[in-house]
Order: sequence, then structure tokens, then C-alpha cells
Amino acid sequence: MQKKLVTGLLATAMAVSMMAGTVLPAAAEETEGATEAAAEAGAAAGEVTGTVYDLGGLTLPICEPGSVSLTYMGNDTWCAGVSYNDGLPVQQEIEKRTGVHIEWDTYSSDVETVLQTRMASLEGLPDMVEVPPFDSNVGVDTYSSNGVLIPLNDLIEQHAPNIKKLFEKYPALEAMCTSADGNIYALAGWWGDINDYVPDYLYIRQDWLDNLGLEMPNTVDELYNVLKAFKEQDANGNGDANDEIPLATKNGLKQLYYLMTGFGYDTNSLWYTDADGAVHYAAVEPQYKDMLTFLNKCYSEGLISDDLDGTLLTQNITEDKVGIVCHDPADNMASSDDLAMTSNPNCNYQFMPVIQADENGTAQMTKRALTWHYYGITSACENPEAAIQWIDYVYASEDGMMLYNYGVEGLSYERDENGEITFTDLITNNETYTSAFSALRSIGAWPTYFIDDSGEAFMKIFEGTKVETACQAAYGNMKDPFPEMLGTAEESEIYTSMWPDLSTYLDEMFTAFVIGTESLDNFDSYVETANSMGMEEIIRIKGDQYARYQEITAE
Amino acid sequence: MKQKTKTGWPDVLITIGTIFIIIITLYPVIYVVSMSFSSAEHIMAKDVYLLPKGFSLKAYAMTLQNETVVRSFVNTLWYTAVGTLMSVTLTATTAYPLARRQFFLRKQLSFLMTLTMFVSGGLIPLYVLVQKLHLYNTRWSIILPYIISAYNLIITRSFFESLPEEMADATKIDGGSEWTIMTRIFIPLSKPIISVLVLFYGVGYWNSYFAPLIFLSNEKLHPIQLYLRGILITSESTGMGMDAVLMSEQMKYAVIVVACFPIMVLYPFIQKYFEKGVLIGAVK
Amino acid sequence: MTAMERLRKNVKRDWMLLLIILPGVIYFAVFCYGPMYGILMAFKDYNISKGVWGSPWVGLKHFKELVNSVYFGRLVKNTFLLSIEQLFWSFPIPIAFALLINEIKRKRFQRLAQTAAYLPHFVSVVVVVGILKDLLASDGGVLTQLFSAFGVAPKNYFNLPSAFRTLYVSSGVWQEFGWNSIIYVAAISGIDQQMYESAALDGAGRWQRLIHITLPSIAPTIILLLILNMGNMLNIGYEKVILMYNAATYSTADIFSTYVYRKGLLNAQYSFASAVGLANSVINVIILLTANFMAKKTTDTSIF
Repeated sequence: MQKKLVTGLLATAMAVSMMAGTVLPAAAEETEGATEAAAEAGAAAGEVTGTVYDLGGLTLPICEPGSVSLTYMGNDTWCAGVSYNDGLPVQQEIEKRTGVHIEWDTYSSDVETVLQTRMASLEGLPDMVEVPPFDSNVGVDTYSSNGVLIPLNDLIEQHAPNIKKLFEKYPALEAMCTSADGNIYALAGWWGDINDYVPDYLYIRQDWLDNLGLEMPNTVDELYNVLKAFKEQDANGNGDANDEIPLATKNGLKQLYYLMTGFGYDTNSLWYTDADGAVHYAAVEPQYKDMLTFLNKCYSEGLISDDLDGTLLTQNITEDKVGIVCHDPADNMASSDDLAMTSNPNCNYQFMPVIQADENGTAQMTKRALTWHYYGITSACENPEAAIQWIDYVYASEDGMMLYNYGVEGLSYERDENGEITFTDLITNNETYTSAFSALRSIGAWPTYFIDDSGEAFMKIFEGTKVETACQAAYGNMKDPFPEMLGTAEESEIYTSMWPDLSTYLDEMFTAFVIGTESLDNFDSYVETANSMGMEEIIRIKGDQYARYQEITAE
Repeated sequence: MKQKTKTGWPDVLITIGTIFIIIITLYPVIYVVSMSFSSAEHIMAKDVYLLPKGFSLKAYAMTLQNETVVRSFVNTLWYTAVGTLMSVTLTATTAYPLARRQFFLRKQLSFLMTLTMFVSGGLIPLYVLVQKLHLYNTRWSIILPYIISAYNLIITRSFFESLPEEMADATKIDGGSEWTIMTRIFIPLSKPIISVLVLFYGVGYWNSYFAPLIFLSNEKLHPIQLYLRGILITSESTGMGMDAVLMSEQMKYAVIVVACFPIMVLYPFIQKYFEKGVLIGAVK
Repeated sequence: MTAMERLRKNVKRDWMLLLIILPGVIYFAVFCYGPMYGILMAFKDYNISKGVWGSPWVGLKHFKELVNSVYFGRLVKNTFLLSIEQLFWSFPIPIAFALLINEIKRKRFQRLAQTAAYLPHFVSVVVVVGILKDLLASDGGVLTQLFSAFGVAPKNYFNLPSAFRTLYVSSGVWQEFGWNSIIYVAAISGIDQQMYESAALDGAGRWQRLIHITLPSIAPTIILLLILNMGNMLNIGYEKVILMYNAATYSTADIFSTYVYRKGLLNAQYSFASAVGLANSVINVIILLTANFMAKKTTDTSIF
């Protein structure tokens, strides 16, 4: 993997340097210098030349520097108090290289409300937008059928060589960007790469297991015994045998469906396909009842936290109380360690292996979702060519990916003569932003727009930590998640009218079965009610969508 | 007003009850302030109950170093000062005719204006209107669309109605115009209600985040509440990277203190206008 | 003709009043009634490119969708019960507090109490709910410990459907009673002091003065606010509920605004959301008119 990274870097360096007019320089640094010199020379001469790069067919700058200005509307950085509006280094560098100025119309709260108001009124539309609502993909259908989002097919074909390459590399991405009418109206934020590495499962206090002389649990029975031991004994060794919370969730009890692998499923995904390619929803199947029965038993014995919505999770972790955490994704394990270490320096969270029904189980973890939000160009954009080229650069080009994942050379990272990357002190020793992730985000890297997270970069950030070890172990051992496809108009209509009520019902019943307010004897009538609320209809839609997915990816 | 009365058991009860109320209402404020001065690990463990633990000014350093905070703070001062002045004036002048019993449109206008408290066309048409009037991304977009609150209008009207009508009539006979009656008689008698309006509108503008959220995309014009909300909500949502959440968790309390302190101290200054005798003193 | 003449006469008499109220009328006409056409969205399938006017009519489709939801009955019940419980507690307590404050003799103490009571209004609801959850945590929450000292077994009240309304309303009262008492404090300050003095001379006790002077004097304000509050009764925002509810308490906590939030906003269903909004408004106005009518009949005070 390390090797792959280096090759990638070299390829980038070469592409950059060739177009900058230097002939195969030994170090990329030289290229940097050359480009800067060229830019300065251009500026001094009073003419706008910039540096001309060619990245896989994309020519930079996209326009005469400063001649094109585009607005982007969506989420602001995920770094508290830092905004793209502040002129962050990465975005400045992108502007320098592409020549395109971006007006950031970004928000860190109530983003969907603002976005939907603007999109629904056709007033003050931005050029590029993160398509609301975020939690479902119906927005792509709504806004494309209303003409707010423009089709991108031709634009990509003619101006976006890197996006085309990305599609070739990941047919799943193309499939998930393609609407039912065959057009592409929006690009999905791509997590397919990073989620090859990043496990999303429960993590457990290895030091607690050691304290109590227990083995890492592999099966349901072993898990139960561990939970029981955590509950009954003084696992954290503070002299109080009653302050341990054996298992706690961050995003509601329903997240505990992760344990379904212990009950006859070969992976933890509610939506799945069987060997014949038929689509199923686990929560209304008989085996699911076994898991609910198990969880109900655990809950009634106090083995699962009663903080149902996870509000108190971080503080309980900090107070050295939580044995097993169900909280996506991997890097939270490191943060949890940091938290708990303030009260117990021996704290050591480790990923748990996937829980099996018995010793011979072969169930695997499901990867996290492949996509995250959609991004499109609106009908108000006067220069869609420039926009798609800019997107091509930030979303898909290797040069753009370097800025995206590592920030600005010299500022956030250095490269040695072998092309090996090391982060600077700004990233590894930042006083304000203690994790490398936040430090990178504070300079504009790991952005929230046109997401295309790199797994290698993620590994680099966590190099030498147990997160890296966990990721390496997970790599290649996870199943692909069920694809989230864009629906037809009819599908979206059915989905939006049925799914909100149905999912409320499913959540409610899951919780009721587990905490015991609803008897598990009523499981059958629960399934019946779910069906009467449209469960079968939704399964049929998902089936049609899955068929389309296979069709597109098979091409 | 000094009165010599004995302190009896009712006073004792009142004092005890009031002390209890002070304790339970002051607590959250003390909690927030203490949290803002505590160190990160205590903020995360939420084990601060009364006084700051692991005293730290880091949260304030992070907050106040930020030029956005300073700029938004100044914006908020502007919106509050200008908005309150305009709103109070307009509310008083709109309420006055509605309080005059002779005014022939009194009933109809009162009804139509009150109705706006309960029925509205929704956000999208209002947003379109603000765009069409070219108010979008101007400071006025924060003030004009919400300049009169029907609620405040009604309480002002009812206060005016409670003033003795005879004085108005007397002035009228002396040849004074309605304008004179309003400015010379009604307004000077209305210090308590005007104080209430100043407080309600002032706090309303100070806390307003929805109008700026929808009507201002230019960050240079954003008020402090948008920034605060950004911090508060970021700390609630889960993206990738929990430490971003931790970070905002830490800043949260300091930003609340910075954003709310000025308006919190406004009350005691306005309070003196609520003191007994103001009204009567003016009449005599 | 006579109507015309009367109008002319009225305008001639009240022209100054008309002029004074004109800016206010313009405001309401432009910013409140101007966007009113948005209500039509409730009867249409809103199509962005065609705008509100051009979108196709669908009649009562969205209302039917709401009524046909399996949750409709529950939403009606929860919304009304929460509204009523809220009004029941949050309306009288500020009045009681204003009266209590009025009885304090030491000015400084009075001011301190008033200022303290008004402070929680400024603490963000996110923080308030956070504090509450912390105080009530089943392991180690301060209030939980307090309760267990009285023999109550620790439990997580945020998971109890029966506790939701109490938690919602009590935290709301705690946060807002000081703020809501301001208007009554102002009203009390307007009472003629001579009335108290002469009552004292007549030998009226403290309690009698309260009942016979203070309360009647602020009664118009109380009635006015009661009417307004009743009209606003069903307008309970989703924000605080969303922070407080979870899958275990939906059965009592899910109300129209949270339902619209989940179904309308999170799924870009503009027409559906505005249909629910309109239904809400209609009920509000009916309550308002009824309350206003009753007040007019029984007392002398009313809004119009």
C-alpha cells in the first residue's frame, strides 16, 4: 500500500512537471519553484498567464486567473469556527492553480433549510450546490425534474477527463450518480476509496478484558459473557464494581443491528441480497427476532446503556465507564482513547472481530456507505464548462487530490527525495487542533464539497497508530454495502410518502422490543404492520434499483 | 418608595421562595460560565457542577482570537441598536391609532394585523419577496421583514387603551392634533411599555439567527448568533472525526458567554423603568 | 352612496391617524400579506420551475396524506396534550412570579430575583436539554441521586413516554417564566399607588390588596395574553422536541412539527409541509376567535 502511494505521487509529480515545461525533475520541489517563478513573472509583466498544467487531459489554469467566479453553496468545514470564507490555504492554492475564484456560500448550521429555500424559490441560486436534503437522495430527482440541476453527461464527456477516469475506475460510483432516466445530474460524494480501509464496528476496552482475564469475544455467547463480566466485576479497576456500562451506542439502539451476524446473517447490513440476487430487508425477517431476543435479554440485565440517543456517550467514555462502544467510524476509536485516558492512562480500545453465531462462523463486516451527499451544477450557472473543469480538478485529478488529502506542500506536508510524504508540525503538533484530521481541515484540506476521500491518505494520517493496524486488518475483509441508487419519479414519490412513517415505526419497534416495552411475542404482528405500511413496496423499489445498479456496473 | 411595615411571616415565606427561585434559575448560568473556564477534559467529562475545574482560558482564546467573532459581534450591535429603534418607533405609531376609539378602521386593522401571528405564507414566498425588493444580502433584510411583531403591537395597543381618554379629549378641544396627543401625552406616559418593547425587540434582534441565516449569504454581515449556532450544532452532529466535535464542545460555552453576556446585563438597566410610581409621577 | 359619504367623512376626521398608521399598514401588507399566496402550495404539487401560481392543483391530496398516516391520531393527541399542558403551567406561573416579586420589600433583592429569573431565557435550548439529561442520567445524575434518597429507583426518565411531557413543560417553564413575567411586572408598575395607600388606610391586609387591587388592575393584560397564548397554543417548534425525544418516547413526544420536520423538510416535500402548516393555522385561528369571543362575553377585554 505504501508503495501504491508513492507511485501515485510520482505520477502526479511527473504530470505536473512535464506540463510546467521542466524535463523530468528529480524532486517535485523544483517544479513548485518553477511554477511560482512563472506565476510571478506573469504577474510582473502585467499579463495573466499563470502556470499551465495538464492533468490527465485537464488543462490548467481553467481560465485567465480571476476572470471566472463561481459560487458554491453547501456545508462549511467540519472544523468548528473555521470557514472557507476565511480564505484557507488549500482553497487559495486551488484558486491559484485553476484561476477560478470561488465565492463560498457555506453554512455550519441549518444548511438544509437555507439550501432548500434557495433551491425551491429559484432565487439566488449558486452555480454549484450540495444537493439537499442530505439524508435521502430524493433531492436529486426533485431538483433535476424541476430543472434546477442541469445534466452533466456532455459536460463530463467534453471537459472532465478525470471524472471519466474515476467512473471507469469505480463503476459503482457512475451507477450511483446516474438517475433513472440515464442522465447524471449530480455527482455523489465518493467514499468508496476510503471505506475500503475504514472499519465501522464495535470497539472494546482491551485493558478491561486483560484486567478480568477474558479473551476477545468472537461469538454471541462469548460476547454475552464479556458483557456480564464487565457489568458484575470491577473492570476499570477503580474499586467500584457498579460504575461500568458494558455496551453503549452513539446513534440510537437501532445501531445494534451490527450484531445480526451472530444470528444467521453473513454480514451486518439491513439491506442485502441473497444468492439469487433477490433483495431483502433484515428487520422484518424471522432470524431478526433472535437478535432482538438476545438484545432484550442484555438490556433487561443492564448490559446495554439506557442512554438511548447517545447524548451521554462521550462523557461516559471520558469517565472510564464504557466497555464496548458502537460508534462509527474508525477514527473515533482513537478519540475515545484520548478521552478515556484523561481518567485512566491504561485505556486501550480495540476493534472487535465480527460477532459470529458459533466458532465456525464466517460472517464479515459491511463497509460503510459508498457515497455521501450529492453535488450538482444549477441552471443559474453561466459558465458550466468552467464549473465542471473546476470540479474535475478538485474531485478527480491527482493534483487536486493531493491538495484535498494532504494540504499544501511546505505548509502541511514535506516530500523527501523519494517522494515520501511527512506531515509538518502544523498537522502533527498543532496546539489548537489536536488531531491531525482537524488540523488538516483547519487549513481547508479534507473538504466538505465534492467529497472523494482517499483511504491511503487516511492511513497516512493515522500512520503508526492502532487505527492504521485496524484498517490494515479490515482491508479486503469487508463486504460491499447495498448500493443506494437514485430513484425514478414514481419510486421517489412512493418512497417519500411511505418510508418516513415506516422507518419511524421500525425504529420505534426495535427500541420497544429491546427495552421490553413491547413483547417479542408480537413480532409477527409487527411484521404484518410493517407490510401494511408499505414494507413490501419499498423492498420492491429497492429490488428494481438494485437491478439497475447491476445493469450499469456490468457494462 | 419607602414604607415602614413590619416584617411578618409572609415576608419570611416570600424571601425563602425567592431565594429558591434565584438558586434554580441562576444555576444554568453559573454552569455555563464555569464550563467556559474549565479545561477540556472536564468539559468532556461534564463533571463541572458549580465552579470551574482545571481553570483554563483556552476556550476564550480560541473564541476571541477569531476575527469573525469580533466582526459578527459588531454586526449584532448594529442590528440590535438600529432594529430596536425602528421597531419600537413603528410599533408605537401603529398601536396608537388602533388604541383610539374613534378611529374608523380600528377593528378591521386590529384583526388583520393580529391574524399575521397565526397565518403566514411560508418561508419561500417571503424569501422571494426579499430578493425582489433587493433587500437580500443587505443589512435591512434582518430588520424590515420582521420590523413589527403583532404580539408586541397588541400589548402596546392595550397599554395605550388603558391610559385615561379624557386627557386626549381635552387636548383635542384645545386644538391639539392627533400627532400632538400621541407625542405629548401618550408616549411620555408609556415608559413601562416602551421599556418592555425595547427589551423584547432588543433581545429579539440580539438572538435572531433565522432571518440572517436565510437572508444573508455574505458572511461579512453575519451576526454573532449564526456563529454561535454553527458551534452549537457542529457539536451535536456527527461527521467523521469526533475530535472536531470535542473542539466545538470546548468552544461552545465560551461562545455562549460572549454572545449572551451583553444582552443579559441589559435587563437591570431597563428594570428601573418598571419601578412603581413612574407612571403616576408623570401624570401629575 | 351613504357608505361612500361616511367613508369620506371618516377619512376627513381621521386623516392624521391614517397617516400615522400608514407605515405600519404598509409593513403588514407587504411583508405579511404579500407572501400569503404561499398558502396555495398546500393545494398544489409544488413545482419549482412553474412557481406557486403555475404548479398543478391537487386539491386536498396533501391533507389526505396527512390524515391517512397511521400516526395521525397519535399526532393530534400528542400535539394537543402537550399544548394544553404547556399552557396550563407556563401561563399562570409568570403571573404568580410577578405577584411574588411585587411583594418583596427590599428593592435590591427584588431586582436580583428578577434578573436571575430572566437569565435562563438566554441559555440555548441545546445546552438546557444537555444539562437536563446530565442531571437525570440514571447513573450518577444529581437529580437521580436526589430522588433515590427519597427511595425512587433510578431510571432514565428520557426513555419513559409518560415522563416526556412533564420534562418538556417543566424545563420550558423553568427557562421562560422569568422572561414571561416581564410584561406583568410592567403592568403592575402601572398601577396607581394611591389605590394601595387608601386601601391600607381602610385596613386592607396584604392579601386583600393583592386580590382586590393588584389582580384586577392587571386582569386586562392577563386576559389579552391568555387569548394570544391560546391562539398560539399549537405552535410548538420541533427543535426542542427533537433534542429531547428518542425512539422510546415517540408515542407521546411525536407532534405535528416534528413529523413535518422528518417527512417534509428532510424529504423536500414542500407542499406537504405547507398543508400541515395551514391545517395548524386554521385550528389556531379557530381557537383564537373562540377565546376572543368568550373573553368579550365574560369580561370586557378582547383583542378585536
